[in-house]
Amino acid sequence: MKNTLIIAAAAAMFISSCKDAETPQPENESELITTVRLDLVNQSDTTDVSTFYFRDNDGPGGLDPLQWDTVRLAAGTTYDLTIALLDESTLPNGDISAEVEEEGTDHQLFFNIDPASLLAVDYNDSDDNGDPVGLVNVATTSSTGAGTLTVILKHQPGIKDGNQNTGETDVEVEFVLEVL
Amino acid sequence: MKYLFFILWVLPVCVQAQHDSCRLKLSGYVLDKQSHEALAFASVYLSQSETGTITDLEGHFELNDLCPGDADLVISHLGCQSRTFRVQLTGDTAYTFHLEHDSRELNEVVVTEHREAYTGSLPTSSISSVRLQAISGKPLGTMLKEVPGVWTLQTGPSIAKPMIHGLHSNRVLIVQDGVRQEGQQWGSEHAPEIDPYTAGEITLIQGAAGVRYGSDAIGGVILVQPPPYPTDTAVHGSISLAAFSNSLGGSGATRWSGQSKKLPAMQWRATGSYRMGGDAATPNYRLANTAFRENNLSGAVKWSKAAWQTELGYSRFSTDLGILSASHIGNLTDLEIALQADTPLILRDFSYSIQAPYQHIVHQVIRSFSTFRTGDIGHLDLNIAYQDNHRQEYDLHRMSDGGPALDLSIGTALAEAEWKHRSFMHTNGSIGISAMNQQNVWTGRFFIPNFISNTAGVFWMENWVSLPWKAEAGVRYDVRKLRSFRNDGEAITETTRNFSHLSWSGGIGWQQERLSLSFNSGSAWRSPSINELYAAGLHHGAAALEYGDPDLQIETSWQNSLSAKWESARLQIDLGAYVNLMDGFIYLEPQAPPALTIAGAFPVFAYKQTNARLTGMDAKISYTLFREFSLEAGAAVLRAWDITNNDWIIQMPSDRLTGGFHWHFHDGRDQGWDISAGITHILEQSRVPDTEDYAPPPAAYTLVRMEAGSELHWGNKVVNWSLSADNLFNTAYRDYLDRYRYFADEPGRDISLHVFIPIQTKNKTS
Repeated sequence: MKNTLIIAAAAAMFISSCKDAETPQPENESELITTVRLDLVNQSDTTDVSTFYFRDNDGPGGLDPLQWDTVRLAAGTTYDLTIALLDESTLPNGDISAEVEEEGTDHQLFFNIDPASLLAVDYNDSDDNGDPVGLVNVATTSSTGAGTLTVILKHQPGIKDGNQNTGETDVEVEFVLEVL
Repeated sequence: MKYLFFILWVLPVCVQAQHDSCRLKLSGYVLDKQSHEALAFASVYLSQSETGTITDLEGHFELNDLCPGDADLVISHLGCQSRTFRVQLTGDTAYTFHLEHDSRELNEVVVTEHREAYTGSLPTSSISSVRLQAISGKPLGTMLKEVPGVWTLQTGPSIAKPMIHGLHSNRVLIVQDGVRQEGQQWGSEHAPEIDPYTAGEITLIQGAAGVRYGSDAIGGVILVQPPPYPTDTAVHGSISLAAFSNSLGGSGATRWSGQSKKLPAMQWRATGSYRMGGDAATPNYRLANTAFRENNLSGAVKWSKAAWQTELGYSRFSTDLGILSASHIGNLTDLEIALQADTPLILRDFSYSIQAPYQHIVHQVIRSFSTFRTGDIGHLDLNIAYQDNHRQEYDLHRMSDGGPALDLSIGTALAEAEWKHRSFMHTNGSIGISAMNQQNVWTGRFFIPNFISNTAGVFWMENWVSLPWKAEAGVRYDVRKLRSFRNDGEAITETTRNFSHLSWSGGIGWQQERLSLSFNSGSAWRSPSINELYAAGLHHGAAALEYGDPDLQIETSWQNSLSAKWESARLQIDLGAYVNLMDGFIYLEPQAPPALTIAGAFPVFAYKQTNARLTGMDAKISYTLFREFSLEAGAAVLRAWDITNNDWIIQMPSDRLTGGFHWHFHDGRDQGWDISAGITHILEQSRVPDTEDYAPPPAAYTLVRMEAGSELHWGNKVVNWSLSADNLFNTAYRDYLDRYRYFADEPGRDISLHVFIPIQTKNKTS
């Protein structure tokens, strides 16, 4: 019967080292990207500012995205394009773009435009290795038209080489793009 | 001395370490249990070699020229019926058998070291200690692949889960040292936390053995049994080493056991093992980040007295398993890119380093097993255990605190009491109760909720033998209360589900010297597991959204199995056929359309229930052509049909055919050699449901394996060694049951060397 006591004592020890099953932590506490914000400032008129959102505050699955804007830009214009990645599931909101910037050598944003003639996006930032990250860019429109702009963030630890087909996709949002 | 209660009691009195294959001697005495008088003219018959003898006037017998391995010994004496039981021959061995003289009753064998050995009518297979040496250093799931009817569900080369007759995870119970393994076994990429080096023998029960081992043993039970304790005062030890060419890895284990000189009632054993490997190699490239490391420790102390025995044990299993970098994908687009590529998109030079994504698991068990004599009518077994399973899964994405993305800690307390009555009217049986309490706590990213589960069961079974007939029947009732707790950030909600159901089993067998037939019919059930009920969210790395269904009902199974065995000097045939009808079979169904998220499109899966019919057949035939050269052939076939939806069931094994030879001979210096070769052909799985899979099932493939082994005389020691080559022709292939099939080939040729060094210290007087 001594064994039983030893086991009971050991079990008590193990159990007490655990957190209590009856008081779970909140389910949405972990790091999440809920929001992609595109900020566009017209280089020739800095008061001409446009902001476009993709918002899915409960993360993947669950409810459908809250906001999914159409990106409307003026033809023949050059914009400063910055990307903000936010976690709006918690308060205060998490600023994921700051983390991406910090870990710039592991991340890169890619912009796929279809048709390509609608918009040209040129990187205007760099990581510690001098490679682009894509948080700060210059976007130039020429003629009018409609299509799509897909914003992709790849996590490429140790394999970042400008190839958008490797690594894990953190963000992939397809916006409807209209150049008016 | 009324040492134990049943009629036959086995005591290995002396084990000499003298490995000379097929030159082994088995000798001993047959004595009357009460009077200790010699029993003359008792018949001792060994079914494997079809040799037998009769005890002399001193009750002594001797059998010579036996091969190592399992020996089924049939002992009978005047007025008693013969009874088969199993001993393990690893060297020259002497046993003393105590027969209780009671002509009214059938002889019953209690081999306490093999207390979990199964005697029912379901088909069983076992891997002997000799065989375990030859395949040492591999994970449990891979080892079990040798058994017909057993497949493995894999996540790359290092994560392997056994699959019996198409069922796995929560439907297959693993019982180690008498304790059912409890962790996060619901996950298909969660390998069993078992160190095969602790096993003296591994026995597999195929079918619903739920009555004895717990209702959820629908697919079968894997019994991992420790080797017997020595009964002399010498310290027995061994060192087992293995090296593998494919992963440039290796393993080492050491086992020690002994009996206290000062306290003869005390026996002990200890095992330590270490396994490691680097990135596995396919014929064309390395699998980046598939390195692993595993270290294990276990020990037990047993105390025996006339009226009781008690054993206290502890084991710790710890592993780090790298996950193939290329298999960790972000969304459907990533998957499509990966599927279109012939080679994994992430390659690296060979490395032993384990980087994210990886799993870190620690499993600890503390257990006690006691048996008490209850007068002359029976004995009571008491089994108590606590196990703690801590699983940490690290994603490519570091969490902000640097911790694991998924952290699950589950503690399980188990207690079981079983009273076995002594043989009465040719019948043995037992009644028992069992109880289990489980608590799960998660941190990191949500996938399954915290829960507290309480299970209680009561069972009764009886086993009647009057050769050539035997019959058995058993019944069990279990109740389970599952309380789960969720926190949406504002309030904690508690959900309670109650489950209860009956399990039963009945069987009949007929056995003659060469032919034995048995039929078993049984029903088992399980309650839906925590992920099937409440999983909600991203299965990270698998790029899938999984949703449980909180209203799922229990899954019941009714199985009928028939097995036939023929054993003669030259020919051995083992046939098994089964039909498994499952009501409320729980499976993961792909949902349309994919979910659109900030990270792109994700496929959506939901747990559903259906009625299923699993039918199959396992066959194994071996024929001795001349002297010790035998040919073997085997087949395993399974058809898994969804009755409700009129379709095949996804992720079921395809048919498997095997063939090979085994040759045992002695060279000029009279050293024993074993040479064998085997060929395995896996057919393409053409029976898949119409629902979309990411990629069609891979093509059929054929693998060849060769083995050669012998012994080395090293001083006065005999060292056994064997060299084997898996996938000898370095075939590039993919397997339907491996999740990595979407991303990469299976490992190529693997040459491994296994060495077993027995160590025995002489009896010391200090």
